[in-house]
Amino acid sequence: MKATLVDVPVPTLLPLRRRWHSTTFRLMAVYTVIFSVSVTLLMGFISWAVTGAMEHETDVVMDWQLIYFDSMPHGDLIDAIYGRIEHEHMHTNYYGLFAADGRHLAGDMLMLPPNLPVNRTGVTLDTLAVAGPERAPVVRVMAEQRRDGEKLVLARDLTHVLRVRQRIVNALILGGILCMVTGIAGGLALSMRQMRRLKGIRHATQLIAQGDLGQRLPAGGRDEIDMLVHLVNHMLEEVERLMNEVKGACDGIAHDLRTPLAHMHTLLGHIAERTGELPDQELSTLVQRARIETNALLDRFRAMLRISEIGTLQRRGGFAALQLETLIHEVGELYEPLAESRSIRLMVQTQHVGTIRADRDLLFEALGNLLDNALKFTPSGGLVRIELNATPSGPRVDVIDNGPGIPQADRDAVLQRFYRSERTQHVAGSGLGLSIVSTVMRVHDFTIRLHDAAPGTRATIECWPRILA
Amino acid sequence: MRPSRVLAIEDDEITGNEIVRALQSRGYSVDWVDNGQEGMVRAISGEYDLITLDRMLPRVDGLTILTTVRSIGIRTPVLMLSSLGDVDERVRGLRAGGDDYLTKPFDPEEMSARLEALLRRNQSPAAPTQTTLCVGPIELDLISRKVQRDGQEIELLPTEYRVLEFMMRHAGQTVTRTMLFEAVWGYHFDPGTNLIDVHMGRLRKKIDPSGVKPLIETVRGAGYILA
Repeated sequence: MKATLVDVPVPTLLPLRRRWHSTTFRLMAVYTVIFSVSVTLLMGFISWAVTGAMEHETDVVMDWQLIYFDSMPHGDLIDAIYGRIEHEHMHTNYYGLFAADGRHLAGDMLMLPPNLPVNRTGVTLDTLAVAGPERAPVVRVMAEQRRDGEKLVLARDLTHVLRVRQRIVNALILGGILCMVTGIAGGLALSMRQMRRLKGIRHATQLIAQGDLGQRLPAGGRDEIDMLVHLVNHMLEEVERLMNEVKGACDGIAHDLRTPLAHMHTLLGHIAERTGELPDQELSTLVQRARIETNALLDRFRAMLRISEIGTLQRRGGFAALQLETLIHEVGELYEPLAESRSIRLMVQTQHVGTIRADRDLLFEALGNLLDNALKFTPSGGLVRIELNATPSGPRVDVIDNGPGIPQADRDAVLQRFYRSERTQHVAGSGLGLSIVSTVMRVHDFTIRLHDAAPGTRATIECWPRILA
Repeated sequence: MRPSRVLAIEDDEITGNEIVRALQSRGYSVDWVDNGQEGMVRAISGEYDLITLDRMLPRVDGLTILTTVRSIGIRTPVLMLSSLGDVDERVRGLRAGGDDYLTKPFDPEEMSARLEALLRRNQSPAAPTQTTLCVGPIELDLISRKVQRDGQEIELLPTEYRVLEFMMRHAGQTVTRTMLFEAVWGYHFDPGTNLIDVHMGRLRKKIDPSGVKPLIETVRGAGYILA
């Protein structure tokens, strides 16, 4: 048996891992990250642009005001400042006149902000000491040194600008979140839909791999996947047609040949009866030999048709919950006298395992064939064991003999139809026992492998479905 | 006693001849029809003790005949003969009212043995109240599952007990290996080799002490008989 197995994933990790493996989901996640980053950048840019523009505007206004104050003689300046303060409606401007040493001379700005350049450039300050009940506002400040050394400082409240900025930012954040939520929900929904489709496809594929060639992949939607589905379905149709042709031919041959063979067998029986009355001993022996050969041929045809039957059964109807332990003890009991008659010790060891779903008759037949085979090839005085072990993946049945063993090169071949090792030509049998076993296993989706038991052979049946996807 | 009348419905000529030959040699009177239509008419007449019925027939299908015959209340035992051997076909045949099912090509001995078993069953239905089976010196208690020969208790394994019980219920009849395998183990495939023989060998060793005429005899080419 080729190693067609894939490790069974740890069940608890499965859903997340599976979700992550969905292409749509992955794309969506990556897209969400890109989207978040770009939205953040956009917000940064907008707030920078808005604030910058506002600040520039403020600077222009203050510059003009300074020019206006410049034109005033020193004496009028203080009055002008106070006049301004009183007349200003909205009270968005603050004024301060400071002596060269920083002393406060006039205005509602109480202190000269430290490190303030006095070259008419706008600076944003987080706080400003002002007279009145208001708390310290955030301001844009511009200062100049007058000809007499005094410093005139203008400040303009930026609170409203900031409020606008805050609103914009808030709106963007909210909008971004909404966008993201919608994006994620949409992506999830899309990936769910996609995953449902893939699940359907996987299910159908598994059934096909189990031999149900009548299955087709579910089509729907008009995307690349659907195109592939149609292609695969077309291919399956072709495969099924060819398989049926070949199978039909094989079965037809087996069936058509069997009837005349059966007739021949009957006729030979009649001849044998007649020749029994004749004194010709040699003729009787020849007829007898011809009967035996015909019988062997019939046996082979029977086994061949049986394999064909089992293979095409798909009779999951025969499947039911089954206690492997009981079944194995039954098989052991059936073959124990045969082992004893050949002076072979037959050991049956079982561990407790749960029930499995299987076809009782087929499994019994398969295990019987395995035991029969083991007994056939084990020399007198040998030991044949049938063991049932509970493994993490499921129950495992081993049939172990200490006969001559099967060479590595033959192990795959013996499970195929009609193979007989060169060295076993003398042993009776249709040569189809192991083929029946492997067919039964295929129907169950169980795995059978042959190993070297040094000396002898170990046939291992893994009673759990092969994982295909 | 008049000979049992058997109706053979079989379209294949050689198989039909074979059935007639095998049954006549055992003293049955056989009527052979080779198509479903005539078979149906004869089967409905209810004049027969047993019917062998081919599954696939020209004109009227075997299953149809069986279903019809059963639906009008004719209880004649029917042995189905079919080249469709799989378990589903067997189940279908038995559900439709067949009493036994034999896959073609069959051994004439096998067919006769099964036929005989069906006839006997019909003629002498076992008394349901019966709690012991007695054949010659052997006594088998169906309740305590104890077996005695000439009053001496014999220890039997469960399988051996079931084989013996089956043999005793069919005392005087030829019992084939496949019949035993189906009845005792409940499986329907060819166990091959001499699997049943070794079981029988064990049982014989226990119930037939050496020196006396054995109770269970081998019928060459057919099976066993408990005399």
